[in-house]
Amino acid sequence: MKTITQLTQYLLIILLGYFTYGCFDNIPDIENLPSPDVNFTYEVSDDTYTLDYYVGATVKFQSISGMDGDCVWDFGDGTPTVTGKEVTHKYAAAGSFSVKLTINGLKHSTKPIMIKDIVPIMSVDSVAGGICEVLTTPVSISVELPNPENLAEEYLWLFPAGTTDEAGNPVSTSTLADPGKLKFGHVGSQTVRLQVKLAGRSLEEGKVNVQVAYNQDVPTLYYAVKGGNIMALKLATNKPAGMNIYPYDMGVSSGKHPLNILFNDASLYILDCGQQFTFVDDASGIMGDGRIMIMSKDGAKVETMLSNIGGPAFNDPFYGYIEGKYLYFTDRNTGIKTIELKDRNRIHTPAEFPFKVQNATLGYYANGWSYGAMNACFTKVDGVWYWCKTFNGNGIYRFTDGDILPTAITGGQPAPASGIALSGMSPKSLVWDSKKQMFYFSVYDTGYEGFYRCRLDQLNEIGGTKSNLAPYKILTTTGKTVTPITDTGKGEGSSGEFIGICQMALDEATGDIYFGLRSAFPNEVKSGLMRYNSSTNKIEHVIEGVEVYGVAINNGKSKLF
Amino acid sequence: MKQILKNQGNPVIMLVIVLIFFSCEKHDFIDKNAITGNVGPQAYWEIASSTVSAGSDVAFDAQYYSTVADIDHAEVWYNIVETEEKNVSCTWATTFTYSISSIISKEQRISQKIKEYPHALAVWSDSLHAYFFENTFPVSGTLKSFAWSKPAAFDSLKMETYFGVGYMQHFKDSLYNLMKYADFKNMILGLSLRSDFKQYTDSTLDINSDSYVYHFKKDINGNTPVPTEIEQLYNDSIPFDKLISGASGYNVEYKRTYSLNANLRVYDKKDIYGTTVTKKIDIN
Repeated sequence: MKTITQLTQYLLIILLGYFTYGCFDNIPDIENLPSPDVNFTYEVSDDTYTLDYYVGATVKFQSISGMDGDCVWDFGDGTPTVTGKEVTHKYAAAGSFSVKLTINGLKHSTKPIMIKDIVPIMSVDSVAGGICEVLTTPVSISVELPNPENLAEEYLWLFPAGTTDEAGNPVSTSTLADPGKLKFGHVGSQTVRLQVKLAGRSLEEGKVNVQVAYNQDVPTLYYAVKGGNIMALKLATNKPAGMNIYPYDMGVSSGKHPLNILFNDASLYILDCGQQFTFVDDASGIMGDGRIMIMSKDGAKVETMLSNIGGPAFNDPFYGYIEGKYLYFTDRNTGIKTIELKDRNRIHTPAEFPFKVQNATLGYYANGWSYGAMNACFTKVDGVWYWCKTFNGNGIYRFTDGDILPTAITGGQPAPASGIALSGMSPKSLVWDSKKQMFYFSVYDTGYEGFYRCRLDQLNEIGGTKSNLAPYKILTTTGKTVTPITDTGKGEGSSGEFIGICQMALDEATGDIYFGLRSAFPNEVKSGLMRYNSSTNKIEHVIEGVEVYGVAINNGKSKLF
Repeated sequence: MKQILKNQGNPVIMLVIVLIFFSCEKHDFIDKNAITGNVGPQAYWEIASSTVSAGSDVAFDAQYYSTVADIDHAEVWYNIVETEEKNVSCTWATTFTYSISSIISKEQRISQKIKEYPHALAVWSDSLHAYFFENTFPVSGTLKSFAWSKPAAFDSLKMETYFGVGYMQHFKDSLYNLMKYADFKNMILGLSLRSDFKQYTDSTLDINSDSYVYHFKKDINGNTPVPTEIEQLYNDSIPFDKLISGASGYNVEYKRTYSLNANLRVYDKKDIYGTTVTKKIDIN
């Protein structure tokens, strides 16, 4: 035994010696990688407008290739090639070009360069008080016109209708370099345009939006335009005659399919379910491209709250609801999750964002709905959740937090006591007016499409019988039904997940309801931004022709945002 | 022997053996399989907004430190990516939806230095254990987004500029190959090129649905080819803009937007730099 212990000690000493003398400093060698055989950079070498790459700017191209030899440059604009390790070039026309560097005629590298025409860059000067109020506040507009060659300049300003000079005289155009201070007679984004000629050559037209405020504090409606930007609109009910209320272009992209937008505090939350929002065979779980963006109420700041880019397509955020410090959001057809309103730049993973509730954690599973029941809008009324489903178990499914089961089931549990409303129908959106105790919803079942208004007891009385909907349907001022597109191929979406009327928003001050309509019968009712007018009990157009997804209202009153 | 076997399982001994193998150059598997570069400064940044108006500045804050060499300066670098979204559709077809869409993004300017920020020892933050500063970087006013969407008046020059020469003819030819009797009828009557379509119409009783199916007249082989007169009408009397005309303007949408992919490089006095993660910023 003693011998064995001694042997072990000897072995350890030998190992220690080997460790000490057999090894040396293991700090690895730092290796300097060679440059690629052919590589280059470029930059504007003029003193000014180095970011702009204007026509006529001097662009310096420099080879940083690992390979030695003759450098031959093809600038991609049809001009002769030039030789040299460092060369300059001026492009005579705007456009996108491919620059090719070839060394010794053996190897080459090609990179893009984009040249821009000179364009007048316009900006609105800051005003006293911070906002430009309709009819009242004079503003001036600054122009930066790059003109390195000092060419003759000709200006033509084009002002929107209702513009006056500071003294109140109407102006529609001006040929001055500085048109002086202006006042605007209409609310919304007032676009001032500037056409400039340099030495007789017309440049691309410059534009600037002046965000003209209303002269009273009123709520603000936000809406997401298809293929466009988030827009805002002052909800003025008693505007003076002759004054128009136009929308504000917030300068923030709506995204691909912002089915829901939500306003809370001073921010707009944009739930964009991405390009592909219907079924797709995403076996690898990588086709997601949805995200939740947060736009400050004036559009000046945009942040990413949650991203599902590169995740499963069905995990994109579709519909949402805000309560307390949480935003609740659904995926396509499984459940509802939560994220704190203060969160930023979060990645949507199942581990970090588990379901608060899912199809399989309510007693409705195999008892009303089944696997993959398709999500639509949801809300909360007096502590009860109202969750719209449009496929694999249609209706408005109601439950309380106490109904949520701790583990997923496959059936056999009792349905929540709150029960199903509109069972078997396809309710897409809903909103609750707690002040008037009225419930508004839209459905898109063939023959019953439309916008409805009823009390909660009446909602229960409708049950699952579509013909019972009739007394509660609201028509337009011309007596027509608002019918969203539900023909596959005609509009967006497919069976069970048409865009429909994808969100409603309540103006708490008036009780009016706003929504976007993609009309199936444009000859009867044009598509556009719509309003249920609570004083007339009719639906009317707010803006015709625009294609709208989500809508939200900042019920806080302000002149601007 | 039993004791030796016991020691073989001793985690301390095992650790010593592993250390020996990995600390010796000839057994340094990591060094053999990885390329080791210089250690640059560690850098982290946050941008104030992921959207910026062309011609405006992007605000950011940055933290950085180095355990190897003194810091020299920082730089913001970004490239420019252009995204073109195109969509053209014909609403005259009733048996199918004819719409051609594309979204193409491509780098239009390589990543390059935009702005340099000198380093100052004074920006050390005791609470962050790093240097900290707030600043901005500029975005060219030439990178405004542009849209030509559902115009009230058609402009063939713009169509060629944004969609390419030959696009209109290609669209028309492709559509023709897909159109059926009902589509031609809807289009030709809708465009008031004929007051009625009976002279081109034949029907067959579908016993399954017990209803008549309408189609062009059959030839001697029983086929229902597009009549020559209709083909000529389509080719000669229906210009491209008529194909895409709709109730609210022409069904053509073109949108060009730009975005930039920015990162912050922090250089030390040896001209070695560390870089932050890349931030994508949309330009409006």
